[in-house]
Amino acid sequence: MNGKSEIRRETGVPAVAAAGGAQRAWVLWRYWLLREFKTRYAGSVLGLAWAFVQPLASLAIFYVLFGLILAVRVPGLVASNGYLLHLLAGLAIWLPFTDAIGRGVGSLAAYEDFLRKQPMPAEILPAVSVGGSLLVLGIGYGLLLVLSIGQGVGPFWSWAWLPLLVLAQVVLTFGLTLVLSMAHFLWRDVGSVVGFALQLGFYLTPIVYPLAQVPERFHIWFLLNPVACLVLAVQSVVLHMPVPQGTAWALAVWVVVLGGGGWWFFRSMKPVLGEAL
Amino acid sequence: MSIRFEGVEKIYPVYAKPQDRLLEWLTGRQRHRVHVALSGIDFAVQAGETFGLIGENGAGKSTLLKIAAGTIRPTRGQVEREGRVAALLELGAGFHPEESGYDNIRFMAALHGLEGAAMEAFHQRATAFSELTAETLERPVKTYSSGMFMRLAFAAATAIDPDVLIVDEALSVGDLHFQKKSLNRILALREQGATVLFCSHNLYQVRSLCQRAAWIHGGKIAAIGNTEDVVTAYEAHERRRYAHLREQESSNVHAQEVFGTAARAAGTALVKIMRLTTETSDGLNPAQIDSFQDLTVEIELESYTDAQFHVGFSIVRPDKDNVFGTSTQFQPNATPLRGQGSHRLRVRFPRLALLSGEYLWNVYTLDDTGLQVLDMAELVQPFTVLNAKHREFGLVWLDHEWLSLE
Repeated sequence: MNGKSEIRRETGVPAVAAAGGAQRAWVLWRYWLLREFKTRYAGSVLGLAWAFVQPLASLAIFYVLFGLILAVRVPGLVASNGYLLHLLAGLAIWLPFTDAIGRGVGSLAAYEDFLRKQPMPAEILPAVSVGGSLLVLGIGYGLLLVLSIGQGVGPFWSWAWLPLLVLAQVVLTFGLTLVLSMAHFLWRDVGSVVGFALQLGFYLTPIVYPLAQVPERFHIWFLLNPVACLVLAVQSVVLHMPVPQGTAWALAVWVVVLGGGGWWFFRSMKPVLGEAL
Repeated sequence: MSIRFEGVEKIYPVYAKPQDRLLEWLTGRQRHRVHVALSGIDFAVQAGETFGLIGENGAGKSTLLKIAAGTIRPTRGQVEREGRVAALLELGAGFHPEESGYDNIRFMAALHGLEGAAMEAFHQRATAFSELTAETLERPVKTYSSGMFMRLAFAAATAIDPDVLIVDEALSVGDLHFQKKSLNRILALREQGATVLFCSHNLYQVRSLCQRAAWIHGGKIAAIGNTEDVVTAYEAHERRRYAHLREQESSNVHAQEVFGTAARAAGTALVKIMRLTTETSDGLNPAQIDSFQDLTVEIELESYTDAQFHVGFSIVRPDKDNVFGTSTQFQPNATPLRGQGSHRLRVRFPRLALLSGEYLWNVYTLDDTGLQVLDMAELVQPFTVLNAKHREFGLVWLDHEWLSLE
């Protein structure tokens, strides 16, 4: 079906072979991602440097406010500046997560007309949003590991789990982006709700405060928050902090539910995309 | 290399309110009406064939093209496509205004999954066809004029060197040079053996480009086959509809109507139809003519280019039925006109063999290929023919002999 042409072309340029579905999606995804990065910072003086400035600025704000002024301490973390590491572990997950969701929600709606006119795999659009957050994710994790070593925390053998955790984060974020982008396409209310939900989610995740400062009986409730599960897993793996029992299991369940469910929901609603609503 | 539709049906669910879709999804109870956009579509466009789709607005042509292109899936049935497909459903869809022409071309290449050398080849073809300078292509697309944008968009859309080309009225945009160029590109692809599925309101174009055609009416195929048969059937339908509308309006066109207000094609024509004058022994522009009177028709044109052009005109009945039509292209030596400035054509009809009835004129100016309509004036200069001296009836007088009366 994907045709290799049998007809000899008269034109001087060699005929191009059409690429198969998966390969085509992969090429398109990478190109689109590149375009996304180029246009995101087009016209700004700092350019790509903004990708570093934004997470560092958030880190600085929270550190000054909670770490220095309110002087939050992290029990169970033996380091000269434990709060900074704790904060960083949280932001390394939270910033790319909100970045992907924030951009991803409107991705299908923004290309509504395009999807009607140009045949292409629509999954690319949420995937590009998730891909665009990988830079911040890399910066966050890199900083976390460097500062950990700098403060004498690690390196541990348990860091070998990190690639799996990153994969879990990507799958979970992609699944949620699939659901939300499609839901926003169908019901535009979703976009407004998501903005509010992200704000709430930030405070329901142990990022600026350590879980140890939350009364013990509430701990189990945090496992109902997929991002909190991720943050706790990273705290456990990277910083060797104590986390509630069953965090790893809860995370695994979330990855399957959000990843699989997101894919299923997207697939079942996909025919709507090309149609005029 | 071909497209095959097998029992294709498209049904759109129509929700009165957005929350109905949510409730339906949650409860599983149906909360929508269905709109059947297409049903029983069963045909194949053969490899190398140019196939036309005609029909009224909203008949389902666009839905069919979208299904052919793959932007929507049929509710039932199957579509089989072979070969590389390029869809020109809308030119420039997906172009990023902030990005340069070059980058947008690369993006189109990426849409087809091309990278590396294949992307470069794509890029070269598109650049060559667009006729835009390197300097222009480095500028963001938002700074382009609409003509430049269209040129780039068409170039990028067809640079894949498609085996199957799906075209939806894309030719009716852009300047004339561009229209001709894009038409030529489609013809060249056809020469190379590409399959073309073509949807147009320009029946003249469909007639001259397509080997076969289908008339889509109310989501079904009303007629399919040889282009001439299908277009004729569609025209007959249009006439009936038009006649019906006309009865309601009971319009009476003023005899001295000036050309070109409502009837003229949009945009500034390169060869403008200025005036049509008729003359008989009774004087200029007679409202009434006797059968078998000599009639001379004079058409005045104003050309704004040096390009060659043709002129066609016809005598029509109020229901748009052509009684007789001819064109400079149909002359024995088919010399086109050319040159800027005024042109004047005079054609004499000795003993005009029309019988009683109301008649009008249609005038067209066309480019040198005779495919592209430059300007048109339809249903103008009405006149009445009175057949007072003969008792024969009908539209025209046909030569005849009574051979025997026993």
